[in-house]
Amino acid sequence: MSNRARVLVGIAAASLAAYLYLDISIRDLLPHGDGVRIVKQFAAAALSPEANPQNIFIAVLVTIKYAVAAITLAFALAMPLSVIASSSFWAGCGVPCQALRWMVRCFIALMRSVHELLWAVLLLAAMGLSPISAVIAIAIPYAGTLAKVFSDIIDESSLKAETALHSIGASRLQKFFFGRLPQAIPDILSYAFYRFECALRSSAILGFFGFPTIGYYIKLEFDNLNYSKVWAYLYVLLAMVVVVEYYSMQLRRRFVA
Amino acid sequence: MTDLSIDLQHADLYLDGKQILHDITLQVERGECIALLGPSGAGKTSLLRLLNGVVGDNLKSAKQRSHIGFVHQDHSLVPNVRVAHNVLMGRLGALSFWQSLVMQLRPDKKELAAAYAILERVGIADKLFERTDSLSGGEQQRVALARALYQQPQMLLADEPVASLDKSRARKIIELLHETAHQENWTFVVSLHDEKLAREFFPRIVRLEGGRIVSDGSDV
Repeated sequence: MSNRARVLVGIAAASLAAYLYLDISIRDLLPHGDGVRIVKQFAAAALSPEANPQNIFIAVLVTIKYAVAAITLAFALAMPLSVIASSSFWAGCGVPCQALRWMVRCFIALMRSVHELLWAVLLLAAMGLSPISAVIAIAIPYAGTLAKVFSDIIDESSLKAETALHSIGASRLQKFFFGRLPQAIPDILSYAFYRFECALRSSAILGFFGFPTIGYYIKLEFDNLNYSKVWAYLYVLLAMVVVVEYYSMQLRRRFVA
Repeated sequence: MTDLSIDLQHADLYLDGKQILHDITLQVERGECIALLGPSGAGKTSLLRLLNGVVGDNLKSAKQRSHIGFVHQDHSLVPNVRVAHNVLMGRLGALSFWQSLVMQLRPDKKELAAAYAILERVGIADKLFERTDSLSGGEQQRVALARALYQQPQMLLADEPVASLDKSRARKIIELLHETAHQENWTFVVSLHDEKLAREFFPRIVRLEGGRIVSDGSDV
């Protein structure tokens, strides 16, 4: 058996074991008891969404404001961290540099290993229900993820220009900042735009904790069994993600192409 | 002023434990122009890198290398920046990091005028503000040459600098490099695959085969 086949068999066995261990039954997929009635009501409401334009406008605006503030902070934190975490920045440097690099990589791993919802719980307890808690709760794990991906993008950029600058006497910083980093910028921006879409969803979800984003209104209407209004907010959330995706695609084309 | 004449005596070059160059003896006077000829894998690029001081036993400092221009076979430009920025990068070795940062972010009129003048000499002045990766292979090769000319080195090493150009353009570029090297008293070492071109411009031709110099002179 080849190595690839062994890996595939291993993955298949692990998946099967997980399902067996969790004791998942196909019957669990079917709603039971009162669930069928709720599902029917919820599905029927999809065709008659009921919107309150003023609330929707405020919810959308707040959701976007939280997402923009969070992704901006995350990007500002991630850029310097990604440079320090990249191996190409420290090429040819001794043990102290590598130790610093690994410390930063561990810090980045810590930031992203805790989900934004957990950060929100911690920050709510520490700082209360202020916008800054929500922004920081999103920004911390996002900065960790951005920094990890950015540093990988930087390390995978072509070496050629850097080699050429080395041959004409450029310093280590010059080689990195003028030969390597510019090549990574389009992919860095592209990924940052994608994460902005994710930040919108995270911002919406934080509404379930009481922050006045679109999720707050969804939970409120869901608890009051106003499924038509829930659907109106869900449609708006979907439209918001589609519009942002469209515009980020335009921006990506402009910067990346 | 750094003395950048070439004096290799029985030099070997090992890369990743493999011997690439064998017993290379080569002397080139300041201001002399020579061509390297040889089949693929003969060691021309490795010899140029050895002369550049980025490999081998006698590595050159960044300051020494800042006086050596190097035109790479694969252009080795930053693809997603404007041509002007790539040309201006020729002088990075002579600037501090902060000076070069200002030059890259906000090149002044004087620097842009100098870059324009160099691009005019290689025939692509109209591309000054184009994105480098939007240019054809031949045009990118000329940007790489412009970067080396902008550097104003004392020694110019060029690895197949006209490989992606048509014959008449290749001839003009070699003529330009040869002429500039003479005027500025640069030492000029170029690897070429076109023997006719080499014979036309270079009185001294060094032939390599299997990592060894097999002949050196005008009578080859």
